[in-house]
Amino acid sequence: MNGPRHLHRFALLAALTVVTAGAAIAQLAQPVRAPGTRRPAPAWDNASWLNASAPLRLDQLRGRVVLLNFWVFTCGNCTRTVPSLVDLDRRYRSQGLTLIGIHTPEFPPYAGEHDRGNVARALAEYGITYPNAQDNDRQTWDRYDIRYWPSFVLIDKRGQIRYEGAGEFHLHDATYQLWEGRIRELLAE
Amino acid sequence: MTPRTSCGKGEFVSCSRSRPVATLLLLGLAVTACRSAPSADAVRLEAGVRQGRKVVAVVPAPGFRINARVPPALELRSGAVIRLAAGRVLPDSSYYVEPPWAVRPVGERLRGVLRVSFCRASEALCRTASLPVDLRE
Repeated sequence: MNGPRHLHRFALLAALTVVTAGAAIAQLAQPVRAPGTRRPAPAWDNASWLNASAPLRLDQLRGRVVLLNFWVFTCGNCTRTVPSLVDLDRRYRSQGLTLIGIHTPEFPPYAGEHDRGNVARALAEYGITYPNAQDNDRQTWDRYDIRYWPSFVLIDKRGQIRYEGAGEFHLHDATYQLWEGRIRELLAE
Repeated sequence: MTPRTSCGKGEFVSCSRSRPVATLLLLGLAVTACRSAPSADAVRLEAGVRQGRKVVAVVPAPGFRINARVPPALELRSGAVIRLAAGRVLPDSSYYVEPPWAVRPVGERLRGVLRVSFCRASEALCRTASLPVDLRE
């Protein structure tokens, strides 16, 4: 008697699992709002910076909207997103946006990703003028619980994480517009 | 008062109480499964012969691509690092279009870790896998 009912329940749960898994995969490549409410952005203490005269600290940036971009120059998805980031920096820096690249290697030092000269060459190649921190020990990556290249964290003027996401996007595509809308929202607060 | 019953038997009301819990568990499991890097399913190391020489190659599973800008590495217990590469890459040099490979050291058991940066073709992001390797001659 219970057989058909159990089968029905199993099918329902299996379908739910598949749908949920699909939704999670779809979300992966899209910027998603952090689950739950706002949370304080962790401080970082990277010592090696490029395009900055001195290391930037989070507490110095109160009153500004901060977009962190976790990337590495060997990641094509990251470098293909750079034109969008350069554009956002150009358009919104004077309005209160601080864009910061957190350059986090994928491989051990033998791959060259840890090398400051290689990072500097990549910044020049892609026209990046916003500050970049070398996160060779992955401390900032771990503090923000990042898993993918590229990833993004948008922090409001009070130092609260408001939006997070991962995945390549391009100038003026839907994801670009989503991020731009979020930046404008936080700048207006 | 509604009698307490186990799910699947008795009053529907009692069963419906446990469903949100099961649903939440399933949601958690599904999300956790999706967030984990599917490294073991994404790539594998294969031994073979190429132009008369013994080689090892990293073969991506269907739907996965291997990052060519940071070639895969076989980090052996001896401390040696073998980089695997292939000549054919996409026009922007971001991914290999054939499995990257390397000549296998003669007479050496390959024990260590295979490190690969890869991407699921349907995603627009990179992730790294570290897989244990133990290949006998």
